[in-house]
Amino acid sequence: MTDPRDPDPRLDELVSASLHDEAGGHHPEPDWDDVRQRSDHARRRLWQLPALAAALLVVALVAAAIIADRGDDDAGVIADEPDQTTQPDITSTTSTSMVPDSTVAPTPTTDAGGTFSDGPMADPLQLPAGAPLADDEVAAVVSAPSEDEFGRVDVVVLSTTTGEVVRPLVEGFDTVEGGVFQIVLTPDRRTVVYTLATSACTSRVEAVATDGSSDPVVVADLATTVAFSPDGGHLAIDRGDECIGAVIIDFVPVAGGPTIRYEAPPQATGTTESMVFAGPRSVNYISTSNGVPGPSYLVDFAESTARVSVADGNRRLTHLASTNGTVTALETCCDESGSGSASLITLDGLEVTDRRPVDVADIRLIAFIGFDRRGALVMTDRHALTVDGRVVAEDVIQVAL
Amino acid sequence: MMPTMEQIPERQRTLESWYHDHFVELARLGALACGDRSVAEDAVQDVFAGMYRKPPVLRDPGNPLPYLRTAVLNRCRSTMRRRGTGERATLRVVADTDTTTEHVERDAVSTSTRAEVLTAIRALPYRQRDVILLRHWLGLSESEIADTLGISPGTVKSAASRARTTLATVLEPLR
Repeated sequence: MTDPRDPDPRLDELVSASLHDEAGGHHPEPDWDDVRQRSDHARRRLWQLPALAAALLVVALVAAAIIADRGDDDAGVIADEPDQTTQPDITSTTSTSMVPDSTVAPTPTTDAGGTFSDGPMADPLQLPAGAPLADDEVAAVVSAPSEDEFGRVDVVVLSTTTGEVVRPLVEGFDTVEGGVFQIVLTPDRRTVVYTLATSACTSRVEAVATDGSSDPVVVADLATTVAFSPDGGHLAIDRGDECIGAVIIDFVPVAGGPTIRYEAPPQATGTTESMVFAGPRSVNYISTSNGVPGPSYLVDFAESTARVSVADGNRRLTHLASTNGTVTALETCCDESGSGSASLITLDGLEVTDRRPVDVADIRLIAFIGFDRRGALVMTDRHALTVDGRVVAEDVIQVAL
Repeated sequence: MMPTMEQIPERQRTLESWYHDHFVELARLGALACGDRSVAEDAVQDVFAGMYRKPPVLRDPGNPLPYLRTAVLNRCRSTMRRRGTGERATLRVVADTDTTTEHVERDAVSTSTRAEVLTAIRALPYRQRDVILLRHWLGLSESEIADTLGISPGTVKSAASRARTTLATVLEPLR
């Protein structure tokens, strides 16, 4: 039997000839003016793509969380108590493509370095409060009818039972500059807080009552992602490093007072995806740069300490999503050849608590990320959110529990 | 009003020159990789639009080809993934098939054989596919492929080996 690793001139010839024949039949026409027009066009939508990408990621985790919750026969959505450490059990689905890996070692951590300092004094945050969301309601960002090619989005309350919009909260955000970046709930579920990109390097945080009884209130400027501290007493604001050249997280007291500012060491900058999120006991920050994992910080503002996990350089993490203090990300290219299997990893704080192989075929069949074969989560151009294989909402691009 | 040559920055003139020098090769490379000529041509346009907007940092400022090739391959891949059709799309082989005698004589392999070969190549993992395209279509050396894809020569070698193993098995009936 022929060993395919041996030199095989016939194979080489067949491959080369096929490629040359195919390429030779392709006669593309250059159009330089089109390049310039595209450049001008793209300049106006710098914020849109990362915003949409970040939004889609959140859907992934939320859908998985809902599925896990249903799998436990516990009606309603995931509990959102600050000390809640339950993480989505994605393998509670009947997927045959994921095999739980019980041998995940804790990620080693070191002191993160960086500096804590007193930031500016903050006035009490204006957080309009409404009636708490019901257990089967989530705050979400959904696409809105628009003739504009960039589209518009609404912030709404969505039913996880029916997928219907229960009530709109804020309608018609223009997405030319990115639109709504991230959406979170206060721990008491009475206020929806979201970040809104207003141009390439300007953004703001707004808040609205969950029952629609208030107009949006501007809470802060310049934020890519936000998270409430576990006790709800502080709002952590990731200022975003792309435009300011540093990773700065402000810890703003909701009741007003001195802001605590954490600035990471310079090597933490240059991220393409990052988020700040609430852990069970602290605030976490994770970042990647073109898929390569950057430092993952666990910042304890109460103790003014920061720990960092520097990820394995061979891994590539994308599709960051978080809820209930855990982050899920898609890990690919895990072996030296770059052709290794893909995994869905879960981090609790800085520890990798779960790493589950994902069938590559699943990922390729799904536009952005896939969790199982039966379609428990399907994200295509249609952006459908499904629970137990049932579509509960379409065109949902971001959901917060 | 069209700008005069003096008004166009040197950088843009260089970029336009690169565009005209490499457009055809890059569009063909993209088409071979993703199996869709229009997507490939779009990818090339977008890559140059990105460079027009923000010049990349090139390892060799005088040689943009490694960057351009990688950028086109990556963009084709991303586009197909976004479409959700990346792995389901069947390769369109010579949609404008020319059936004249001259064309038949020009081609070294039959259309059906070519389709099977290209389908097999497109079914490879991305990195293996890229290595095969750069090696067998552009004729790059291992070190040039490594430079283009930003990986080590050893990784190129192992990816090529795995690709050849797969192709040898899949294409055995054709040989």
